[in-house]
Amino acid sequence: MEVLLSAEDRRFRDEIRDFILRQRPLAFLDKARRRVPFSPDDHRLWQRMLNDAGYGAPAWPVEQGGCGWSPLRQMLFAEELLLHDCPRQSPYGLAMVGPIIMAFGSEAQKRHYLPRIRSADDWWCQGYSERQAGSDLASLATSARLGADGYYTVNGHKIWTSTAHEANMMFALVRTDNTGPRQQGITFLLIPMDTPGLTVRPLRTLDGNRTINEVFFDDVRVPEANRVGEAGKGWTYSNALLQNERLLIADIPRSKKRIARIKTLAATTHRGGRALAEDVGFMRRVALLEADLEVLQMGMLRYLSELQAGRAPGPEVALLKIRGSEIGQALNALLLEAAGRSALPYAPSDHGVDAYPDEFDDYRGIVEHHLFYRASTIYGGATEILKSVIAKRVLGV
Amino acid sequence: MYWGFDVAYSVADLTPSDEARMLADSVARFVDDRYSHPDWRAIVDGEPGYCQARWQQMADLGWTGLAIAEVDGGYGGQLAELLQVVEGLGRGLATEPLVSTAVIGADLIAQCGGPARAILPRVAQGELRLALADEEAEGRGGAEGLATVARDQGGRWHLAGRKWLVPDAPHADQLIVSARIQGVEAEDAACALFLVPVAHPGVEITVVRSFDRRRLGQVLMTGVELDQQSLLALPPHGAALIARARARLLAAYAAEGLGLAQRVLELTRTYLSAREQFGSRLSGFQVLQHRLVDLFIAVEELRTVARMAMIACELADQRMLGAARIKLIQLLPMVGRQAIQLHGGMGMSDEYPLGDCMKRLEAIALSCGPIEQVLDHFRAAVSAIDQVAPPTP
Repeated sequence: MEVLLSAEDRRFRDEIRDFILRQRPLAFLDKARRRVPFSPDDHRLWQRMLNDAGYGAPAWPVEQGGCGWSPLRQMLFAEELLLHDCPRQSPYGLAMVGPIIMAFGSEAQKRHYLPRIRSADDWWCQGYSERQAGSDLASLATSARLGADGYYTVNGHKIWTSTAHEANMMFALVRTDNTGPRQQGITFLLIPMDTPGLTVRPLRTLDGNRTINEVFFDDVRVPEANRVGEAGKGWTYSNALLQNERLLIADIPRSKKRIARIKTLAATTHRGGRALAEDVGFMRRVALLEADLEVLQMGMLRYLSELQAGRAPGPEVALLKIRGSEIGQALNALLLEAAGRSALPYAPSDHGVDAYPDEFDDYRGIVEHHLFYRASTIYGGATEILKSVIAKRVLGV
Repeated sequence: MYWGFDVAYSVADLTPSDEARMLADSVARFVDDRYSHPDWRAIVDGEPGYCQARWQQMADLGWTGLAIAEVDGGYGGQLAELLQVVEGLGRGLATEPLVSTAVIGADLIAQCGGPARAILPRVAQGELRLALADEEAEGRGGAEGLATVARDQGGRWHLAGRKWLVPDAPHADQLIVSARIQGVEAEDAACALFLVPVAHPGVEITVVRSFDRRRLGQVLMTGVELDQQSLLALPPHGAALIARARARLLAAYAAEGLGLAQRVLELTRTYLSAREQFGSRLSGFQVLQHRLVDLFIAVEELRTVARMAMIACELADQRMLGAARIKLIQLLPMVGRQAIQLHGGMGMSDEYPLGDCMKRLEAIALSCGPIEQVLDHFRAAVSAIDQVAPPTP
């Protein structure tokens, strides 16, 4: 990739790197070194710091307080954050609800919410999935009835809601009409998490941590002013911006770090008195994935360049997410293999730093990431769903 | 300096320009208009194994001289444009020796300079066809471990050795032959290049037919006596030039493979949409849809690989070249085999064009390998870069 960056883009990256190295709190470095996950407070603090420096919303237009950067620069920025051990920016406000408010929200909503997303005064979660509406999202049933008093009354149950326990706001798809085609009765609501009748319950994932939740709505009252756009258009709004999301969830920087970690581990891990790094068979398998990743990144740049040339790529960009998650999972599996039985000792991060035995510090996080990352081929459009979308909309079969 | 470091590339170069797209379209029309699959069969199975008239048309369209400098009688175009032609011809399974002649041969002659450059106008006109004879048995080649020897005897060169499965050698008028200079010990310092007419006394070419219906040549050279004019490059330039040629060949394989893979995808999509079993179209079965999408993803990746290989070979970027080579070895056979499976019994018929596409894809992948060696070269290139800029784990 290096050779394709212009002098200006390299200079841009140097500025970003310089900012990160000067401003990054020491605590981040320490956590990264010990492989301790960042806390919600870390995420909010960092978002505030980025915003104060003018980097709060890389993808947003300048009029909305964003950086107005090209997709390439957004990518470089995200990569620098991750490679230099900073929290990544939360996508829920910046990449998901923000652009929807920008495109379809009222002036009052834009004035109120957009600055608060950038400054981390609001922390958002996404209320889409339900037990009976996962991949088949259009069958969602959580209902919202508009009363004469100008309030919606929401009843129902959302599930797999990431960071609901940390967020103060939820953007939700709710059913306001049961009569027509199911996609047309869905409305987009902004719901404060402290509204009476709203309950959040943890749903621990395979890694044993609390990342996702169940959210129950029991006569939750939401003012009509919190509806984005028109009633019944929620499905259209939420789909309008899906493609952008899929361009950037190929998880390339994270996979680069995984490769670096495999190599470090291979150099220090011994099998029968010989370093794993000397095992040509193992290292060739690493190389195969490294080549995959190299081509994936070039593919992403190729789509970005099409976008910049004014030829927006179509639903085929979903293949970046398909391949990116496959490669990430395969790398996790190699890390697991490199660790061998040393991966067996385990304690989830939620149990505290000290719950995991120091003696196995070299392997901290490997199993945790492996287990949680199985979700990557399921969330944000399961691989099979994305393939069906490509089959129908790109190949026309 | 034999590498084109003066060329700058940017992210925008990952997609073909509008002009390049138009060129690709015209090549596709050329291929479609010229002959049907039975005609193609008759040509490749007959003599000389490609169509002389078509070769002349290609030359008349300016393709043989596309990347030859104007002072040498060509059009002064870029490798990127030439590769668009290769992609289009690849789609049509063309066996005319354009890659050997225009992508590899003409470039080597131009890079070497000297008296041999005088033949370039005739190459541009389509009057002369070239082939690179580097590889030898037992995996020798790429300027390494060469057993072909050149002796300097009183101002004349004596060449002896055997070159192995040389692509297009039976179609060529002149061979570019790599040989080690006798008496020089160091491997990389020993490789020289010679221009050898196929009709020269002492050169014997045995034609070998490959499963993809191409003609390869076993080139035997015994007591081939050449004058100084035939010397193209001395060490250490010989090895660098061979590396350059191999990189360009990789870019050509990537372009050809992409052209073929697109055709295979279209054939398969059309077939699944038309064929009915169990009372419904095959394209309605989800498992087949998903396998078709796997094929589509491979084609999209090949699109990336083709541009990557083109840029990498202009910049001599070993890491990108390595990654491209690895992906070609994996993706090209996958595309062919997947398409055969999706065609079911129809795919097994030798009359249907799909099989010929599949065989060519397999042959290209074999010519890019062997995978273990490629992976080890890639690892070496990556670790050289990692040492300059260590990644943070």
